[in-house]
Amino acid sequence: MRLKDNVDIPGFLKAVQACEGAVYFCTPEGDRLDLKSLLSKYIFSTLTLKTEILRGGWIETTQGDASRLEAFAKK
Amino acid sequence: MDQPFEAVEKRLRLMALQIKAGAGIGSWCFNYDQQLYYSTCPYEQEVLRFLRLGGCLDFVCAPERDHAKPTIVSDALGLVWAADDTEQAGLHGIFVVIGPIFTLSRALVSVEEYLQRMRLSAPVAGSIRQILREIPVVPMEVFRQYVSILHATITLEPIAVSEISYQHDTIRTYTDEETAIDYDQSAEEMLMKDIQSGVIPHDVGGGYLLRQTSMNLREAKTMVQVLNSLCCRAAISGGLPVSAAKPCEYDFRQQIEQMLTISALSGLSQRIRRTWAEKVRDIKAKTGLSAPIQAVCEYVSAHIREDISLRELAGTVGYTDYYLTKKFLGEMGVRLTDYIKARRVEYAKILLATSDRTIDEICEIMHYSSRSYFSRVFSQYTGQTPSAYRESMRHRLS
Repeated sequence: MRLKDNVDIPGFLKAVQACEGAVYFCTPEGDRLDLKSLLSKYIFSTLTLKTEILRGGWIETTQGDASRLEAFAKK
Repeated sequence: MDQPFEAVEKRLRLMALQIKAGAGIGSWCFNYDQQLYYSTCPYEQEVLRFLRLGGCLDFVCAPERDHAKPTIVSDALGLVWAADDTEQAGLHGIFVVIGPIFTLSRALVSVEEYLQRMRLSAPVAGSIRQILREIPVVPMEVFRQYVSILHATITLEPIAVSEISYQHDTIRTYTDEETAIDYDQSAEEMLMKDIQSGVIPHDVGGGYLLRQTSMNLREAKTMVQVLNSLCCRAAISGGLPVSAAKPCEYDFRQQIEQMLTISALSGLSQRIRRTWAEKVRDIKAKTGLSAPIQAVCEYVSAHIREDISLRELAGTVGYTDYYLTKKFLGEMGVRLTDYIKARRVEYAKILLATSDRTIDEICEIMHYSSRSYFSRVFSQYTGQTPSAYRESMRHRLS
């Protein structure tokens, strides 16, 4: 799934924390950030200020958790 | 005691400027809705998110916290902040935060190592590295003094450092054990080698130049000027072009002269060492020394007191032992095992010259299998036995 352009980052990361499995932010360059690790969260939060990276990236999650993050996904 | 709002604000702004100019520490002013009024931190938006995501801002705002005392908080990565309320000066609903800092150079090294292991693309890794580079490493004992200054700026009353409260008890004990090592020539040589190789210096003897209590500000400035010039020379011999090195040396020279306190100077001296190493590292990255080999050198530097195995080292960069040793020899011109041996001998020299530990204790600390093996390796690199080296250093220093 891809994130909305003006996604609420703190809200999204809170939802990620509530997920049971791992949640990754991936980029076409091969980056894979585990959004449950604090350093990855920091990196992700700095990237979200650079819209081109955020727009090019996507979220990978287990099927069971996908519904928890639906509200933040681009339709 | 209520004080005019303008007077408190003016003092806070002056303090913010001073700690920014002196030690590179940012200041932040918030209300209890966590709304930011101003900050002096570069990368304000990004660092504000760190403050929120790491849970520090929530802790500072929590009603359970003792709001009459300044509080030092920290996140899981080792970023440290301090907060104090202006309520005590009659300004309701406002608090000031100073930070972030790293109090341990090792914490910064660990973050850097973790970043290397994540193997991120340049734009992604670069975005966080840029920010981390702006975060100063300030020893906890010095940071506590800044917290006292913050409290006195707000209340006009001094506070003993023992009255500062802490989010976690472990933060109270944050000290860089290596900073207790006094200056000696070996520490200087090791630092120069680190800079020459572009390895971020692990703070062996960090702040050593400024730890002599009898030193006045002028003497301390002169010592940091010397340090800056030595680092500049090491960076040039490490491949930094003179045209890039000289303006930087000049810039630091100016900054050193502007320092108003020894604490501020101590923070700057750490920044100087780090900046020079980073400059050489960047040049080497462009001219052939690969990031994994740089990472290995930095890992060795940070874990020199541990029993480093080839497998563990190879694992940090995702290589096999064989491939790493071959690549290391190809790029560094020295076998990896010899490099580690030489670095350990350098560290052992520091312990011999500056501590009262017995040679057997030093053997154990450095993970040498026996005293005779330690003596043999030490003699091979220095031409002296450990005890002869210690004797000669004591003679020189007395």
